[in-house]
Amino acid sequence: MNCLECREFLQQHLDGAAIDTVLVQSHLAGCPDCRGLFEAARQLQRGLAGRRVAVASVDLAQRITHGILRDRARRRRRQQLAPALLAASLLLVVGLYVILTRRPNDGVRNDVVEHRTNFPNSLQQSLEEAGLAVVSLTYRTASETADQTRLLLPAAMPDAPVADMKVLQQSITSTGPSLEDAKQGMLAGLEPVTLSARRAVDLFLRELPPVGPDRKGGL
Amino acid sequence: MRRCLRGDAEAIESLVLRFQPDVFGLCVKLLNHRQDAEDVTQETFLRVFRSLRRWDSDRPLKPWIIGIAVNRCRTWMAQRARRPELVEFLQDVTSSRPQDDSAELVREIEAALRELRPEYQSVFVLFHDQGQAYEEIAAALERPVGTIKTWLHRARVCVLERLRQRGMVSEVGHELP
Repeated sequence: MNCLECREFLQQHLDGAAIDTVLVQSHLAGCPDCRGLFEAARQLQRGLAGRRVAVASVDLAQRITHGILRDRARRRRRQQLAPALLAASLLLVVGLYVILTRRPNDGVRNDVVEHRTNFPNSLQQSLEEAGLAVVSLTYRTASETADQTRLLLPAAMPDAPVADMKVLQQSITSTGPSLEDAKQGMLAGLEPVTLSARRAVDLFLRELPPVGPDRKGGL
Repeated sequence: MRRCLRGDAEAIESLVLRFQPDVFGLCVKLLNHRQDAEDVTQETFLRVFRSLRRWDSDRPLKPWIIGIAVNRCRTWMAQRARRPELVEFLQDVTSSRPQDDSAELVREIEAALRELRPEYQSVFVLFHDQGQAYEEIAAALERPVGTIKTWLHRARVCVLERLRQRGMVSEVGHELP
């Protein structure tokens, strides 16, 4: 037997397989290197047997289960908000398109505006339409979000006035996490709408015709 | 499984309890820190339930879950390598074995395992600590059995060489381990 074969036998032995001990012993007698390796393997097995068995916290399974259920509820809320956000974005795009395609002809761009609050009729109409579009989509998004929020309130909320403040406080406190989650969901959901609305207003203001040299700029 | 997908809390907890000992045990051996092990165990099950719909029911569940646990541990270890070293290892762990004089030997083995490549370490722990067979480990890590054997053999050689270098080989005898 050579060292390579001997080490292969060692691997098999560590795998738990039976080996030809007589053959191995005779090689070990004449090979200090392999002897050292086998002794190290003995120490390894002794050490592995002495490794501590860690014990998890008694409530770990419960915490994991609650975490999974919370994550599941959060993902469902996000999925329900997605169509409303998509509708809001589409409305904004349509509103923007209407504003840009109906603005006054470029040929009259340099005309002096008589009074800074008297806008051309078409521009006035565009302004009103844009305002209505933003109000409408914001109202719709907020209504749908509020409906979802109501679903999060626990059924234990008392219907009738409660004389005992402690009971009422408990009900309110227990709804706290649900409302907090709902608030975060609303903020996350409305952020793109707010950003898009702001961009639309900025674009619109940039397209306003300039005022005369004697007057200060702006609305 | 269907009840788990419907969000049945009892079914979810039952599944967690079934595999938590294996997952936690693996995480503790790989991370050497009980709190980290609990966090990674929680993260593992979170990912398991997020991906449950995509799990192929023809495959056994345990190797799939163990594979996710190994990946989470590796990510955690990579993140931890960028943070200051933790010195609080398993000191707060209740040992189920009586204290003996091989504490130093255990420390040397654990130090040797930490120096291994992540895949070698995973295979070593899964085989020697978790008692999993080559085929189970291969399924969990999605590698051929031959690759797993090679990794384990190399891991053992590295650990044995380190024990020799560190003077943990007390007597040189002819007896087999």
